[in-house]
Amino acid sequence: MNYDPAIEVINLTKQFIVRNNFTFLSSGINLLTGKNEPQKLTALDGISFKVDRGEVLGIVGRNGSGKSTLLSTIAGIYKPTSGEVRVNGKITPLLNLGVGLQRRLTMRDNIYLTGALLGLSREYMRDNFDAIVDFSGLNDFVDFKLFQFSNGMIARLSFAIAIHSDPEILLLDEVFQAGDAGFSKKSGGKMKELVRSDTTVVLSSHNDEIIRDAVDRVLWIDKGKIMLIGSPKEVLDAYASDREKKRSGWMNNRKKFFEVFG
Amino acid sequence: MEVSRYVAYTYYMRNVLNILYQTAKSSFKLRNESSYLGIFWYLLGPLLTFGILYYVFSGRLGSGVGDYPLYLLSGIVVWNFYSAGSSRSLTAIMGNAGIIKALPVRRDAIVISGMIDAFVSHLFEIAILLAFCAILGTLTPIALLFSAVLLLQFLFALGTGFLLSALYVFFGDLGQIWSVLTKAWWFATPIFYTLSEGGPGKTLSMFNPMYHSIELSRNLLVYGILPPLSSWVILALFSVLTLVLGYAVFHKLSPRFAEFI
Repeated sequence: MNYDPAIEVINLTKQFIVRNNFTFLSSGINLLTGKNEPQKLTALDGISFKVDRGEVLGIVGRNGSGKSTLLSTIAGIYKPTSGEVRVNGKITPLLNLGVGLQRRLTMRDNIYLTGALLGLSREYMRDNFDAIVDFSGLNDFVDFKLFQFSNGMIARLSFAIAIHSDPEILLLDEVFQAGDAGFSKKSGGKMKELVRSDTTVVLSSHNDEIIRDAVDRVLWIDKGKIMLIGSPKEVLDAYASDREKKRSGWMNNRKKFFEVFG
Repeated sequence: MEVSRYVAYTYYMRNVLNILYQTAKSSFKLRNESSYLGIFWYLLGPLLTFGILYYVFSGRLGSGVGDYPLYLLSGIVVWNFYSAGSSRSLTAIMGNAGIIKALPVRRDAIVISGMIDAFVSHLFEIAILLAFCAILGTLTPIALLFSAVLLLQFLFALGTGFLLSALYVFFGDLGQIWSVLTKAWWFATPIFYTLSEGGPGKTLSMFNPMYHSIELSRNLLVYGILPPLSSWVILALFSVLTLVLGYAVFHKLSPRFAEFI
């Protein structure tokens, strides 16, 4: 039996060095005065999981819990401090909408440029150019420069390019808030299509509805550690009750505060 | 198995080349706002420097120099590529923070593409220099060797570019340091003056790669003589060593780029 997951994360730890001396001058002074202990911040703390081929994994967690660091490390942008990330297949990361787009170039030029940055050949981009433009719904603006685009239009364009890049593994970081309702629906539809065509998707979102609808399994992380991994219903319920607990704790403190000082 | 690996490698290299092509084309278009007329603004700087220095020095420092206008212009043009290329690659990584932080694009490709862009602009300067040389009748078949000098100059600038772009991520004041350094270096290099035979400047210049770079170009284009072998060897050594050192530092630091920009 040849079991071959699309993504395998093994005991992954990622620490960031917090440093504020970013000049030769201050580094030299610190060296002389011997005042230089770099502080470390652990963003991911011993995380292990697997994602099967064709699976859609959702990641939930509060801001700063490590979702984006995890996605960036899977994408190969951050190097693990320890542990390992094994990826089988071509990764298309969409971690930040509008990345690589040049505001002073036309939409046409930008499609080819972003394609190159995503590792796609010019022939491939030429063949898929019309499909990208059609999907984005920006047919009237192909020869406009991007600085005249609204944020929503830029989001449409980035998403259209990424989704047509023939991804084997697609990483999405909170990109569903972008675009109007019609476009979000279309993105969701295209994503379902991708799921059928055996594409692995890892997405992080604060939108419970997207997680519930589009995802096979959910990973909940907090402070860089896995809290729970399982079916959307199970994890979302646990996550929601945890949020509720924290909120009620905060409300209690508030009440006490007003009892004492109010 | 071997064949499929070869295919995969070819595919990968084609991807890298496509990235180089598209990003260099984009930055060239960006600088010129797609009009290609913008290149004239790029040429304005060196031509202005040339005009002023010629006006000031032609009767003084340059009075004893044969073909002083071409002597001066070739020095400025060669220097300008190094200075423009190195200062552009200084910001190659920091300036592309968005891409570095979001896409696993090869980091060295970003520096190389910036240098290619600077080189393409430089070719316009070279064209002007060659035109002047042709008008004044200094071009001989020997001038063909200049293409080899161009290659060495490109490698030297690229090595510097790797070093600067990587260090700039970790040291924010490198920009100021480098601008002061290049200014001092500019004055230390015989661009608008000549070195007296047997003087201390001559000995010092042996260790100045830009001196050899400019001397080679002048000998080939302006004076039509075969430059001494020592100049070739010294420039080649500087180019290769800078490239090896620069790339080694870049390679060592590049995995951490995304965390610090």
